[in-house]
Amino acid sequence: MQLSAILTGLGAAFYPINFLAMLIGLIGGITLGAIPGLGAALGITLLLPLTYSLGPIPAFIMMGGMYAGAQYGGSISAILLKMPGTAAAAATTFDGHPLARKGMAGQAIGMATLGSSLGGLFGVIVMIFLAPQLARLALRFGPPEYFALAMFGLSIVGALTAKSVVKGIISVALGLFFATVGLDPISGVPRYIFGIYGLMDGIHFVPLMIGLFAMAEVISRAAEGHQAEHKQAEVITNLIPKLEDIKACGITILRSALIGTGIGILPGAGGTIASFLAYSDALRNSKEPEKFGQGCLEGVAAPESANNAACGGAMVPLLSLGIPGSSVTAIMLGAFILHGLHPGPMLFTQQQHFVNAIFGGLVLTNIAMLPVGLLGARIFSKVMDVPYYILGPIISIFAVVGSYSIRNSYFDVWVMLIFGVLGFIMNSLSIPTSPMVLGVVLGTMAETSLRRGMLVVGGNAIAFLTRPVVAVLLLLTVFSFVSPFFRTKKVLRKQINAEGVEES
Amino acid sequence: MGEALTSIILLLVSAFLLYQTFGFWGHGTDLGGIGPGWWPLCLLLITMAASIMLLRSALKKNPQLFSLANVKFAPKVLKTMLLFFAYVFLIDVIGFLIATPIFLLIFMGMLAPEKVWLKMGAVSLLTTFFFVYVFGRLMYTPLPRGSIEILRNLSRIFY
Repeated sequence: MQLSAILTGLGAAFYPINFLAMLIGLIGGITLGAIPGLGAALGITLLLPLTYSLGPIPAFIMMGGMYAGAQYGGSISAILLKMPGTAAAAATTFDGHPLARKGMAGQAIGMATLGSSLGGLFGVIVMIFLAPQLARLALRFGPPEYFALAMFGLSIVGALTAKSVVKGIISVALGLFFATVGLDPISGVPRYIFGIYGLMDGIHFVPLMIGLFAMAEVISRAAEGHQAEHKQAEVITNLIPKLEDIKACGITILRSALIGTGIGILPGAGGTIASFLAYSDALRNSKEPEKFGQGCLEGVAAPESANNAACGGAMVPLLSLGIPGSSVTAIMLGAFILHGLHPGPMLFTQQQHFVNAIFGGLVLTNIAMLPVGLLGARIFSKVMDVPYYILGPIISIFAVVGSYSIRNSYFDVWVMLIFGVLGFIMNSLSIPTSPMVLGVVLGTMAETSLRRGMLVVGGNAIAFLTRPVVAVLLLLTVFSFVSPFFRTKKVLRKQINAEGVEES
Repeated sequence: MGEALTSIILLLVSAFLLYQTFGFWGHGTDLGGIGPGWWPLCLLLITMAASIMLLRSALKKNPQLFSLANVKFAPKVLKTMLLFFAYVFLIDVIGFLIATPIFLLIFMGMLAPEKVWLKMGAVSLLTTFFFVYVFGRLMYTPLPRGSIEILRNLSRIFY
């Protein structure tokens, strides 16, 4: 793509109507993203009737703003309330909320904003320059490669639960198992339904996640009673990231943006998987991995950079091939058709001006996210000033209505509640809940890819495993799963040696 | 609930689910691939193996065996859970519009250090109307109206 085309696109994005559309989309997206149970998919669906009266350029700039804004907005409630506003922000809770509990919510939100903005910008730039090439590469991925990719994503469990690997394995295995409930996606046979009609469609991972994270937290706080009051008065300061923090997280943001963009391009593997993979990668490459999970800025920067970079990545197959890679881009594909446009290779030749304007709009959105996000975060941070006896019950209603509104299913509310109780029990027994969420998110992809892959290779496991990308990814999986234990053992051995020296 | 009890429950549940797995084990394998039971079977075996390992380690730490010490504030937890289950059940009977402010008021009363009923009542009503307006009216979410006719008609005034 020529530079002049990008400048033309940026110029178009600065037209007052387009700029205003971008701002409305971005602010609306941040707001919806921060409210658990809502998100980009719902926001863009709601925008569709509104955009009929607009031309296609402001309409799609607004949708792009909504998509990027919602992806970032999810981090605000993930940090402040341990309740990810969107699924893609689930990994942000691991370190974001501990930071907030330490009184560092401002730094966490500041880093999330910076990570989201830079990651998103990186994703869009990659989309602009490498869209056709990357799309071609992603097309070569078959089911075996997807299975290996899912396994690689699961290898994070080793790093997340190095203290008690058995509990981590139980959690992830249960998560993967929950993903198998419902009609088998290949043969159509019902599995573990037990005559419950609601289970036919499986356990939707959003109510499960809201239950494990939000409801379990509400029950824990309720159990603490009035003692919980003291934890609320966190002052949100230092929103602007410090230079040393930026330096410390810079490489992580860049690497996570790369992961996010790459994952975003792959259909079906969106911001959620990207953020978990980026978190895993940041942990693996960190000089202080023991700080992860305790409140570490890198642990916030990585998933946020990745999930926003995934937005740009997800737009690649949509724009260049007309294939939606996620539920949000699927809705956007519908919007294209509603506006009389047909995304695909012909879009680049027949509607060059439109494509340039979309690219320009997305660049501008991600730049504007930084000031808008930081200013918006200050408003959202007021949520923390509300006493928990008010906030807790309101979060509960968000959890109930959020779970219900996903599929307008009363059954999902029960699912959320049951997983809330399960999450509380798991927390009490120090069984980590995040591997379970990871298992549910990656479970369907792992199983269907494995089975489809085995069909492709005629049941020959050797042929499956010796595909170059599969072999490399599975080796990396084994390495990344095993390495944290050796690292933990090394640390323990050092401690034992040190104690021995002291005793002697 | 201690680790030992958890592992025993997990073992029993996994064994039961394993038995269920054989009901659809070989379905659809005529195409040359692996059946719908293969993947869950692997997962259940992994869960069972991990549960046995957890049980072994729990038996070593004997004092923790079947201890309830890990779940603190048990009466408060039970009260909270009971309230949630009652609320979710009542939504389907008396509808979201009536069940929500009642739930909010009771839950706030349970959590608040000082019972400022007027403030809590106002917050309960405002919160309910916020959810009804945003989800019921703006987003056309069909919030449950309940099964009692008069209450269903009442909810139609609002969403």
